[in-house]
Amino acid sequence: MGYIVRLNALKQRLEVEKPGLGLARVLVRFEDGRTIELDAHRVEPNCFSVIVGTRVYEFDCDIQNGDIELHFGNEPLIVSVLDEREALLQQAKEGAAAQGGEVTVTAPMPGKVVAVLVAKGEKVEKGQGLAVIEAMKMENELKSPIEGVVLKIFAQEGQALEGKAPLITIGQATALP
Amino acid sequence: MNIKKVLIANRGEVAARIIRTLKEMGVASVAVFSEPDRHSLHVRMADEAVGLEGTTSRETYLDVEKILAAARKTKAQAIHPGYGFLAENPEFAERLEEEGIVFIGPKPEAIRKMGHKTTARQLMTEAGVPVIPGTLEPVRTLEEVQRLAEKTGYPLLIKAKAGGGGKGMRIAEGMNDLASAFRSAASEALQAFGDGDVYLEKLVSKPRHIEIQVIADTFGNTFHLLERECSMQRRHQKVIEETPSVVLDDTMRERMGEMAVRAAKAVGYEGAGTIECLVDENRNFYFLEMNTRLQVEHPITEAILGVDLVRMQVAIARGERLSLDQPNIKGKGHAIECRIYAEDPDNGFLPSPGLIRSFRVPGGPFVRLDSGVFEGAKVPIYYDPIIAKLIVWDETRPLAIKRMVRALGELKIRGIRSNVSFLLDVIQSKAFQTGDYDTRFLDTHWPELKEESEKELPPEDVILATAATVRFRQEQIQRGLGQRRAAGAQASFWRYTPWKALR
Repeated sequence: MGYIVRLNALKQRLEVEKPGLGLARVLVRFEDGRTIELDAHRVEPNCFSVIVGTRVYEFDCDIQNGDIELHFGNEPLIVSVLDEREALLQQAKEGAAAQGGEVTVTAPMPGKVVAVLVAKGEKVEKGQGLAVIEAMKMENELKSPIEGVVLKIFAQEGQALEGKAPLITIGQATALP
Repeated sequence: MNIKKVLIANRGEVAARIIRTLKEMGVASVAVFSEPDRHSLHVRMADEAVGLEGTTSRETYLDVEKILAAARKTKAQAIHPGYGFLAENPEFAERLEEEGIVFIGPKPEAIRKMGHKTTARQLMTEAGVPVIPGTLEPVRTLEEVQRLAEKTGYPLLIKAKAGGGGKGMRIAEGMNDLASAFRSAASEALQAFGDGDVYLEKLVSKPRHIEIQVIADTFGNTFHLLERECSMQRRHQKVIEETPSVVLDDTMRERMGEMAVRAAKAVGYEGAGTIECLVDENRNFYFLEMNTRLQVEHPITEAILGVDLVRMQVAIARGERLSLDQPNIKGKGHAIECRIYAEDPDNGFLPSPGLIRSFRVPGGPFVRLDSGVFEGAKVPIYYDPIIAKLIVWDETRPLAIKRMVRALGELKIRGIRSNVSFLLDVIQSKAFQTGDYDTRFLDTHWPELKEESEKELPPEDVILATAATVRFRQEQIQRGLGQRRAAGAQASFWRYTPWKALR
């Protein structure tokens, strides 16, 4: 199977093959033809023990919105793994979003909306506070990632939030009805 | 009084820690719990448990009447308040007295005196305990400020009487900026608190936070149990504590210990308490405040002395006499504690509540984990983000540091973010290794510390190949499941992976 794998700025097309050496063994071929062989065992529900040569590594994996989040020790490593069809789709989506210039700010954690600091249609600067949410005795201000206009407000004061719940959409004035 | 059953008016790691000692003493334990805490560790560990209707701290763990009702219902003879919540609330201790329930802690009067800043300062001065030079009487005119500043000495702090959170606070380095510092502090105080009163306090340079554990029985026998160094702080929140402190020698330790005993005796203290001090760069120490309860970082004292402070608290509450000999209270080796918080150091230390999907506890010699969570536990959004404390002991400080690095490396918390990587950065920093840090160190140096920290990662090839393999394996399993599902089998194998989100 071919995958487009991205770690920070690094992007590679990888081919995963089963060389028939046993269930847990895979051969991974890189773009330039190099291969490495992994003995990868799922030792806990979300934890892989990997031996490359004789070197032992242990990775935990979280899967969030299509990204695979591997943890090595206490370091989170966000790796996106897409198959070829998904990679094409994503390219198309990113292009469209860049054109529309729309961003939806979401709750970074579960909590409660303490205050909504902007009104629909209001112009906002990049870095301007949009809403204040409270979790675990701390209040946190969420800031606008771009300059633009408030298109939609999902958040209501006093409302309890799940993590990643959409709060406010910022976009271009032309998108207002 | 022979206490046979104790209610713990707390939650999380400290409640679990208290229950453990009670079990060892053959004393029955009663947990109380808010609605979101039904699955919590302290409830699972206790002999009996009573639900408190409600969710927030105010509705539950801070509600005196609900907790009293739980104590009456279970016929608990005593209440251990832990730390936080009602631990330093004199009205709560008084209500227990009225109800004939033992409060495992000092008398209400001692809590009240130490809780009131001006009173405590007055009492300490009378007892010959050094306090930070300054005034607690409000100063209102510039002339008065100038006159008092001469007495206090520079640099000094001008602080709002009603202050908090650094508002209405200014530093005056010398005579020249005194007037402007006074005016801006007073006007900011008026703006923020509706009260423009300010007072003066000498600015302690390179302050270290060093505290002395004290313990006293009901017969007036009062002892100190050495110090704890708590200067590694982030925004006034302790992060790592250790004992002994690198800046104390035996003479100073003895002087501070004697001072702490005097301070405790001045309020007729009973039980376990802590005298918090600031120590300046010339090793002058000043009384800061007294915490009239068990302290979060008490396990490091237990580690170097081989005692159980909770057991001592219960014994004192039973009216037993402490049989200690001050000159023979000597610490052995070195202990360090790291506080494990559910917060994300890579994202401004935002709290990170949620489901703990995986939790691996470190092991090995002299490693102690006091935890309030487990694999599958949910960290609720309503309470303090502390989830555990990791304590290690070794013969020397350098060995204890190495052991802590190893133990932190073994501790695995997944599903939520934790500050473990941050703790590793801090403990491996040059400042911690040399012991040369003060309470402001992290607030000023954390960004560069983060930059400097070198993480040993596997080669990129291995990371990329593993990620691709994880996905590959997942698809294989799903294909297999699809076939089996067609044959009527259950699809529950890979529960946590929402691959659907991809499509």
